[in-house]
Amino acid sequence: MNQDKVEKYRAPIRILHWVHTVAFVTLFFTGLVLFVPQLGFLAQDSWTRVIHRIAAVVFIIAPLIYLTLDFKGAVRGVKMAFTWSGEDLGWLKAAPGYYFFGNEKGMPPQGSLNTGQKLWWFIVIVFGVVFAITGLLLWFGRAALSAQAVLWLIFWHDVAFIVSGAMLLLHVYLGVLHPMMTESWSAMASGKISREYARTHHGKWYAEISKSRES
Amino acid sequence: MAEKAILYDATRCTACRGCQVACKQWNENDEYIPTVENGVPAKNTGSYENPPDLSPSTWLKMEFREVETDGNLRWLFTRRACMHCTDAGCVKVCPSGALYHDALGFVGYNKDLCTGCGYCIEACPFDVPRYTSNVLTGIARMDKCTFCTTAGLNRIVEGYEPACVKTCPPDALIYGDRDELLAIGRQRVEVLKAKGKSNAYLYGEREMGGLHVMYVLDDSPAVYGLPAAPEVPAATVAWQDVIQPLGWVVGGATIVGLGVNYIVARANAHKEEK
Amino acid sequence: MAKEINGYDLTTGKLAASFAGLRADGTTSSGNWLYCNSYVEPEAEPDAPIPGNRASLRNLDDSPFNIGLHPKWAWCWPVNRRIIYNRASVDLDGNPWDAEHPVIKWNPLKGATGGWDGDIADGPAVPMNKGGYYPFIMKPEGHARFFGPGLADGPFPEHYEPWETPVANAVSGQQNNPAFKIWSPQEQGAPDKYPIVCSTYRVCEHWQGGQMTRNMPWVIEAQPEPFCEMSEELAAEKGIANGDKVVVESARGKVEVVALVTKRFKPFQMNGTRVHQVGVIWHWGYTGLSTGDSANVLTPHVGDANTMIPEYKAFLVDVRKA
Repeated sequence: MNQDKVEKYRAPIRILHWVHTVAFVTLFFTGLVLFVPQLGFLAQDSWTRVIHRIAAVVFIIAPLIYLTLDFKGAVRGVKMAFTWSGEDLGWLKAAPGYYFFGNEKGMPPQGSLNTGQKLWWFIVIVFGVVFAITGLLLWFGRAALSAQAVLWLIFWHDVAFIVSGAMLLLHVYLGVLHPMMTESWSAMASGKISREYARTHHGKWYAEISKSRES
Repeated sequence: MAEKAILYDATRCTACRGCQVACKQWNENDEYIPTVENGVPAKNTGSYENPPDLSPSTWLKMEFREVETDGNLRWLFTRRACMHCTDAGCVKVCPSGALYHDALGFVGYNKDLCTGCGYCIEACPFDVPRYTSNVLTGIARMDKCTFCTTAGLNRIVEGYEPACVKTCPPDALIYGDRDELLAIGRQRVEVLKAKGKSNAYLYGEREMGGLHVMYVLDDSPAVYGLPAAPEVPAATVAWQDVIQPLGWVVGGATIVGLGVNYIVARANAHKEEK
Repeated sequence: MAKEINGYDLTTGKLAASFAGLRADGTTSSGNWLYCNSYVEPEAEPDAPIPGNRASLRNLDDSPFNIGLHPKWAWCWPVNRRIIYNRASVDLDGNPWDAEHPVIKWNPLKGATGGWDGDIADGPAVPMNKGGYYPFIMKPEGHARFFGPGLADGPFPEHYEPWETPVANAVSGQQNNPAFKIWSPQEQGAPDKYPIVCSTYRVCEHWQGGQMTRNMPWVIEAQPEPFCEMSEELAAEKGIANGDKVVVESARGKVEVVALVTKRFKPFQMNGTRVHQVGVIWHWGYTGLSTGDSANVLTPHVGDANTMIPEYKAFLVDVRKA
């Protein structure tokens, strides 16, 4: 085993991540043109609508394909998003000092996903489902639904857009730009991070896998 | 600039439907009318209302109602088309500005900008906009009465009255400044009340902030098939007036916050290195 | 065009004011003397929506007598007289026989020597007691006639039932007009087989046999198919729903049309029997963009005693769901 690096994300997960990223970003921007009136002309002739629908199909099917390939792993992963404890409060208290001022000492050791990442994962799951359901109903169910129902579907689709949009900005920033998150990109790009990074950023996880991988 | 409007007097209308045909002729809405070439069958479904509903090529139609009260039968005619609301729900939700408020007060429509999102259809309390759409690709376009201001076919800017108004033989439809038509409408309602029509009503004076197609009715709006209290749906208010601005705030705050974080974190990282 | 039909005083170039001023010497013109006075100089009718065009008037004012005359709503011939022979509605002094529904009334204070209030009086006469002449001005003696010589079925008016009828003549011992012209006597339908009264009529979208109007796409879209209007009661009896195809059949043939069930038709009670009526639209035929059955397949070939006009508006049929 390579002494310098540990594997953080296996290939199937990385593929799902990037496929979903492309789909989500496409969905985001084709939806944004309906949110920003000045960009509305880009939606003319239903172009963005067509692209939005194609990306939506990818967005929904990609995780479903993953489920068929590794059901147990997927369930484990999803469980993570719904496992919360007092330790997460510890992250919350330490977060401002850590992310703004680099105070690493105040931050308790984090698992495979730190609390913030877990929160993002939770939002992706929950709002992904909200997007899928409201979106599919808006696509196929318009004729059968009352005007009131359709308007409220659009409302919730919009709320999901705002929440996940803001979180997406945060996620991209932390993944790419934040001065302390030096290896987050390579974690998802190559799947590997250095032992040092693993120890300092996901200490609790590193301790667990060192034990199991060594034995 | 004085706002313009149309006044429809249901007590003068003879339901000749010249208005319906004049609208189609002027706006060149002839895709779906029956011809040997287009193979569209002509069908009567048991009514004088043909076509049976508004459609992308039927922007105006007349409705017929047989109303029997205490042995008295009346045959009532209701004009059905865009009501050109002052507080239009469709304009509120249109993401591309294809639907807009014209300076003369009515709801203008630029079909080239239509994104086919269909939001206007659910936001209209009168169920007027109609669209063609492909379920799979989503390519769609809406159509509705444009108060004869469709680009290239604009009668109003040339100083003419809308085609429907011009055709109407008994002058049940008249066009002019909204203030003047309000006064005429009110006066006609008084005449009807004096004749014993106690429910006579000028529809459109205040509804939806004021309609630019107003109706002189000799009975309550419900009898003529008009919604008594039309309103912009609450969902569109929650969506456009609450969540939308909130979204800008959240988005803006996020970007600003991240920017601040970057500057601060970077400075601290450099401090550590030193 | 309307002005030409009204006519001009060719010596002044002005629109002719009344047919009384028209001459046979080339100094006036008029497309139709009856319509003279329908389009006058703008000063003579300034309040009309098109000044001078009296047919364009849309004033609901019903004064002075409010009997539903509405003399300022459009215009009618001749010279906007709304009820002809209206001097038969007043006594010898020019006072209305019916004080509550006066058509005209002599007003001695009107104008220089008196005039009529209300409708335009027929014949420019004064009341009989002031030297006027009898009101039925189209007859040489000025009287209405009860005795009409020269008619094939006169001389006295009488009620006759149509050739096909569900009831016995309640007024006369003579069931039908004895001077009918009947071309095919074997085609008479009896009420036991054809109990429903049928009439044929028009819609405003089509004209006559429809040869022209049924080739105009917008018109066809507005009125696409021939239909049969019937009462809700008859529809219930026959199990017919609005929009169903129905067969209307007479002794001469049958047509298949759309049923239009309406409150505007109500069954009649005639001599103690309930009698239904239906109406069939007759503009259709087998050519054109919109084709359909021709209602005149149903009608009887019976001509009026004097004019030979066929009795297409009153005959017997039966109706059933197609």
